[in-house]
Amino acid sequence: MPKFDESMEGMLDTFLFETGELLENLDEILMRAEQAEDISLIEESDIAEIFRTMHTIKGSAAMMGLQNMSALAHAMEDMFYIIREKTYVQTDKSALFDLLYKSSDALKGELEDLTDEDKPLTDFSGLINDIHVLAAYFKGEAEKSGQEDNALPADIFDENEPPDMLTYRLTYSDSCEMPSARAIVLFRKLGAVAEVCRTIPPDMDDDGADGKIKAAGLFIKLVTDDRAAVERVLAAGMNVENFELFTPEMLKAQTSAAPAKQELVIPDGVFLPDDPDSLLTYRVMYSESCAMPSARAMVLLRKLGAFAEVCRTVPADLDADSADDEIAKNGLYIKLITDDTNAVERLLDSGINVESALPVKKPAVPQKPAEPAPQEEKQEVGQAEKKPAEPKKTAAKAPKKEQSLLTVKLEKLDRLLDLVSEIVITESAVTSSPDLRGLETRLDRFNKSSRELKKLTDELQDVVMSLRMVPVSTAFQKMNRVVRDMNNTLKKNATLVFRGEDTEVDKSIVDMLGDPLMHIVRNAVDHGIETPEERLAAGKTNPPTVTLSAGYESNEVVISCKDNGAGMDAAKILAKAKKNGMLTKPESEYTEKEIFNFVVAAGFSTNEQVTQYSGRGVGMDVVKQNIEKVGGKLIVNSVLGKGSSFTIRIPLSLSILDVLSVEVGASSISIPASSIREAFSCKAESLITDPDGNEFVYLRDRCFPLIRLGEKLQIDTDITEPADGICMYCREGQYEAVLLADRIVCDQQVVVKPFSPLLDGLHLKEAGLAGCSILGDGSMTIILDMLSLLGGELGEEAQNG
Amino acid sequence: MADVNELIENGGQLLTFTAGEEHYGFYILDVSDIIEMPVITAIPTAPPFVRGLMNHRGKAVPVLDLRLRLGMEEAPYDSRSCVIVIEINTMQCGIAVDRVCDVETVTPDNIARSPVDNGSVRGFVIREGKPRISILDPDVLART
Repeated sequence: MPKFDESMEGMLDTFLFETGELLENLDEILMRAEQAEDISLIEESDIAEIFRTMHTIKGSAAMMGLQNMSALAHAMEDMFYIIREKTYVQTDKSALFDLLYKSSDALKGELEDLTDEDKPLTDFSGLINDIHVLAAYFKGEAEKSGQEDNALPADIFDENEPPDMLTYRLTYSDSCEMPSARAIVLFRKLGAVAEVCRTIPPDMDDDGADGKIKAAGLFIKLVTDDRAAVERVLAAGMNVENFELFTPEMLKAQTSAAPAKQELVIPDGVFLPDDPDSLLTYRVMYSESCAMPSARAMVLLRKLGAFAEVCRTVPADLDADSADDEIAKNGLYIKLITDDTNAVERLLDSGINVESALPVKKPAVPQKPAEPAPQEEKQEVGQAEKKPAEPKKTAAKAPKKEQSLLTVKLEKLDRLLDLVSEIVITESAVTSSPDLRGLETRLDRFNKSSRELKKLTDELQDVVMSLRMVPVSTAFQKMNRVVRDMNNTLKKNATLVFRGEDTEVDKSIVDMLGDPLMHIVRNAVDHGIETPEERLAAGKTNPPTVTLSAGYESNEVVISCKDNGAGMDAAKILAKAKKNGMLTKPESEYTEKEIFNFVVAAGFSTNEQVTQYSGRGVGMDVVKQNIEKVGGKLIVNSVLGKGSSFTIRIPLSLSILDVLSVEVGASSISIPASSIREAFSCKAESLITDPDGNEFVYLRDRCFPLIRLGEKLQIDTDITEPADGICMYCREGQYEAVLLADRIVCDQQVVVKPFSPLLDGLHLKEAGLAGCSILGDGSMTIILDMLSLLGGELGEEAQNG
Repeated sequence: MADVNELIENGGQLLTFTAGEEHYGFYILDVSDIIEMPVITAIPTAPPFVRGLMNHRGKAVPVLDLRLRLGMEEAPYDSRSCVIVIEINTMQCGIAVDRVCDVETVTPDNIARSPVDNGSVRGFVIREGKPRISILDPDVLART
């Protein structure tokens, strides 16, 4: 079974995105609100923002037909209604925020699971109940027995109960201390004359039962043959002030909060004097369980657009806060013109949660005593009548949202980027066309125009590149939550400080950063920051702080996480590394930098105990791998007693690579500049051949295996001796070798394009080829994959590992 | 991307071309472009039938030689040689052929289905007085 209305499937992406954003935003506000000393001191704007966010989530979830999310959001909204209106008598800040975070996490989790058909919708009733309980606590619960109709339990009438079941409502006198105890006695007596099926509240032993009975009364559901006897027993009950036979109609009358009679009143504005006869009017009633009829109505109207021209609705503005109440009370009136009344009626009947949809005739006699201010209304409606309701609605919506942001699919941006690079290449192909060289005439105007064209295309490229840039703050903000949660459990009171969070980087980098940052921040709080006692003992008076900063350095984005905690003890790490058998050279040869690098190696944890947050020695290793996957580096530094810093450096754009282009035979081959340590001419005597035929190049007291690119890549070339070509000492990971090429062409920046998936069968990556790149003049170069080239068969393994 | 099975079942238009003495055809909806022989950048270590990569509208598109792909002898390209760009699930691939002939409409009665299931030839168009045309499956052809 699909989780949401099928007709809404097209909206799913938007829903996921928008709700996701809202929830992120919510976390941020919650975090800010939590700073307040007391609930009454929370900024009003924050409360309003939370309230609005929950309202929006409630609405869109209801529109998607996701009742569980909508109900949870509704409960949170209710909670904040109490806070906003300050109707609480007592508060419990930590319980409130714990619950709010839990709910927000639950909603986030649900969003993630939404696209997974196998996972059923989560039941949030436990959480919702918790919120209600807390809300009741805030309000001081039973104090408000006066407004009993508000507290009427919703489940008095069960749909599948037998028709002969009777429901009695008992009210106890105010002086009765323990109505629940009285009730138990009463039930026992009733047992003689009737079968009591159910009571509300169900459990008389429950602590809350007294309050509930006092607030809403005691409901007894029973089946009996002798009503008179039952009523006698009830009347004789101790402290019973009043009892009455309760019917579903009474419930409706009381809960609908409409003081008017149940009979429907046609609200003003439904029938206007100058409505044409062809204008049909429908009244749509929504079932009471429908949380947001206005949202349903919008969907319904959109669907109606296919068959009919909807001229207006009453209430007119479905976005208005009051629209829900109005619809629940009076129903939704839709005025439309159609050729196919059957189709319209079918559609209306099939609407979600629609209880009834009936055509309404214009009353023969003007029913209203005097049409209040019909003039103004007419003008307004007159305009709307010309157009269907749809554009009017969106027009009304636009200014309210004040949205200056536009969400675009990433694929479209990528396509745009592709096109722009194509234009740049074509532009240079046109302006530097070899045909121009043969021309005798001077090309002044042509040259001037082509310079202008070049400027424009360059600017275009910059703009398109910047479209993908987003501030790193989105990744930073999430860390607030991490630190808050850890502070709660570890009691370290660490504060998180941001610097340069406006720094813009490629969207894919921000997405990638989430996980590594979390690990690093967790580590900083868990390992780095000391407990308050330890800090005191160490004489540290400054508050424990974790600083996240971002900025650019040359062509790289630099993101660092610094803490002012205990720092790391190089000697201790070295000892631990030795114990784990991780040393590859004598202890004394390790520099401090190399030692700290052990921290991010697999299976290394200095924490003696595995805690909830860290200590398994897995995290940092994964962090390092993730960062290296996108061409970045992770640098660790630390001063014992002062704190540690973890710095991530990532190239600005993931797809642009610095390469050294060389020629091998007729082929242009590009080697990633990051792995070239040195290019040199090799003398013939530096070439060493061992008895097994292996060739080495002797460079500064060390021997490296020689890889002839021509031979390795099966390219024909005349240059096979190192002395004739150019040698490059390359290093990637743990692999080192000297590559031989014919000659160096240039160093340049290229955009790496992976090979077409159609060529997967050729195993080019394993052969040492990473992809290709199209150069400015339209020609192509092949880019090497250094890890598999240098590592040989091992390279593949090393990549997977 | 259109399924070549559609053509065999319902008939349709066929782009015909030659390699060696043989006539071949692609379902016209599989073809996205026909271009002159472009500059081709060889891919090191690739087998000979993979000619290399061409810059086709800013994309690096692999080019295969039809003769070599089908196990025929290599022949130098001339002025009538060209590359047919076919599209397989949005991925493009160039096929170098001797010459492009025509676009012909064929009906299912003209088509004899190939009994081989996963071969590169899916069926034959056999008509009196005209050369036989082998209908190629672009997917099988382009996947290496």
